[in-house]
Amino acid sequence: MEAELDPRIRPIAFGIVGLLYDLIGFMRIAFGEDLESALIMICVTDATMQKFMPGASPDSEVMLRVKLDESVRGSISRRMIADKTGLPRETVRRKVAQLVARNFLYVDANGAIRATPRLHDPELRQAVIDAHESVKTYQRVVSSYGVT
Amino acid sequence: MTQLVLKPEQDAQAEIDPRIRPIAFGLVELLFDLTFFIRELYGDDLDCAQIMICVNDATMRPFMERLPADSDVLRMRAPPEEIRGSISRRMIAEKTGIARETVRRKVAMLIEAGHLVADEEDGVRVVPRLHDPQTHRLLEAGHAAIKRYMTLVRSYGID
Repeated sequence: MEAELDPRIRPIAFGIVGLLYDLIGFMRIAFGEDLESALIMICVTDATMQKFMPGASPDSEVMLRVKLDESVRGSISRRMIADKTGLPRETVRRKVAQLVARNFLYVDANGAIRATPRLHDPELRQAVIDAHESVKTYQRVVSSYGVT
Repeated sequence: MTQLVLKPEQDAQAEIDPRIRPIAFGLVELLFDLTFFIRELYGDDLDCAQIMICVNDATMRPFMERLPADSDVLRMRAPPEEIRGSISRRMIAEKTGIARETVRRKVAMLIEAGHLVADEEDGVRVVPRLHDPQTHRLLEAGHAAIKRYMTLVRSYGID
């Protein structure tokens, strides 16, 4: 007799497909048109935010200011991007150069890479809120099948 | 290649909705995980990934939206073909915004690779993979990443 599927899996798959449908649109707005560039952008944005977000309280200045001082924001080397993403170093070097040329990233005074600040852009802010709503929709979908 | 056109910057002292930065931080962490998920399941081509996601949605939606939570279909390795949906190449292009010729070419590649099949009406549907242990593992990892996202944003008081 054919083995049964874990009944959590199909609802999770259905929910994730719906979520990815929305998030790919967000990725194209926020991070560009190819997956390797998107992964690099995500990695650099994470490095930029990791420096100040984990220690910030919900009511701190960091949450309210549209633009943060450069000294607060983090950066990352090309080598570390390659290590974290698993992409070949040459691919990282080439894609980072393209993303810098397109203004998505920039090179700081120490030669490290940072994400260009964009949260002042109303279109991106709306995309961020929409993506959050998509995650909440995922939760409602899987919960309706009893998946926690 | 598209150049990022930056909107004029606001005053550095201007304030934003305090939900934005925590959500953006959480999304970056979530997308880091989900991008690996996409690449493992669908490869490095963003158009192919978007087409696969669109076809998966069209295949599952017709029966998933009508199923009770205790339905036997949830335990089946592959649901009966007659309840699964399909989608035309033209509709894929409309839903994804990808050019029709690109959709036609990429769908042919995905059929050749064994990810999609064309049915008798020339609609396209996905090849069932939920019984595959790697797919199973990736889905559980994706679900866990989404739960971590919710935990993170809630730690900043966002529901």
